[in-house]
Amino acid sequence: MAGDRRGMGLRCERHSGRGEAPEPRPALPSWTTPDGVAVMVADDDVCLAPEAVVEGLPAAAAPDQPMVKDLTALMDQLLDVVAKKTTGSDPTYFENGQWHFSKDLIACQGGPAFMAAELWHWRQAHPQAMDDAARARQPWLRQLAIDTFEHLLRDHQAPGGEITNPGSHAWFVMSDFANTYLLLKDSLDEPTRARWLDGMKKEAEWFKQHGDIPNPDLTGWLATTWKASDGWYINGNVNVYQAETLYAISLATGEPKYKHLFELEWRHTLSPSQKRWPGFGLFLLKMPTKRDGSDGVGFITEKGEGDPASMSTTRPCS
Amino acid sequence: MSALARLYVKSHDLRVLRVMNLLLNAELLHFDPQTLILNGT
Repeated sequence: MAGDRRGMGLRCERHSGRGEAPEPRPALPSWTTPDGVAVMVADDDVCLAPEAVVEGLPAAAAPDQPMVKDLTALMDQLLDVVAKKTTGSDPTYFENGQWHFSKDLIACQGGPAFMAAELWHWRQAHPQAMDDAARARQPWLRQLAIDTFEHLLRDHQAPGGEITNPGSHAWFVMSDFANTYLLLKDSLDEPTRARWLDGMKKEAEWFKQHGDIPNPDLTGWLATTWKASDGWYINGNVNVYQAETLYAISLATGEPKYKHLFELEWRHTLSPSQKRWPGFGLFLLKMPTKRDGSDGVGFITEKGEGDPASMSTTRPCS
Repeated sequence: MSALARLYVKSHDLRVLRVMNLLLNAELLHFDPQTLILNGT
């Protein structure tokens, strides 16, 4: 969940960000919300560590087998509903690489395709869980995913990398694309792997050149677009998608520059420039005492309604 | 939350787990276990 700015007031107060005792620390912006006062994450918070923190992770929980069985059955049923045209007037179906919904948004094309890839991948890894019907569906599941993203690259990606007319944020389908690649890569032929990797790299480059994500090659502000070298701030959920997609691309390509872009985007999402993006970022309603955050409460700001440009005139602290 | 969960599955990074827990606990403030409704208004 990301916090919504509607109904909240940005106040100019000083918070130490740690405990009750005042400390000589820079002032932190805060929101007054129906759940209490939320203070922006401090720069030395664990979640802003400069690289991955792997110490202190909880042990992985054993899968809940009945739930896994229910979930895989549900995924099967959902894919039948959205992929198969049950009547002549059924508006929801899959054909020639295109998912048809009541509104055909390119940004949403990846959801069912990624679900098909997940189900295929899980069953490949758990052949004992497949009955004859599930085994017979495996080629269909895999092909749904492949056809979707082949169609995306062929018909909706411009030569420069841009996803044209996504209908919503292109990051949603790019996340599904990169994650599907990670699931299917060992089953894809070399030309397909190369084509998919090229597509995701061109897309990331396009977003970087247009100031949507951090561009470490630039410094300062781009006066013509008001987009900064640390990237645009859309909304908490979209910025998290950007970070997650860049991480997936780093795994897919193995290229360190995408891991670096992820690190920049992660920091930008949680702690953007408060001069340019006042009130955005991670805000804590309750500071956790545990490193995994399990006894704390927080949100990542969303814009809600309104023009983001007008927000730049609101200064959280002077 | 779904994007954060994907990120954690791939990264096993405590930074991501920390943010997930913070956001989940904020959601639970508005979750009614009797009706299973999450009030997002």
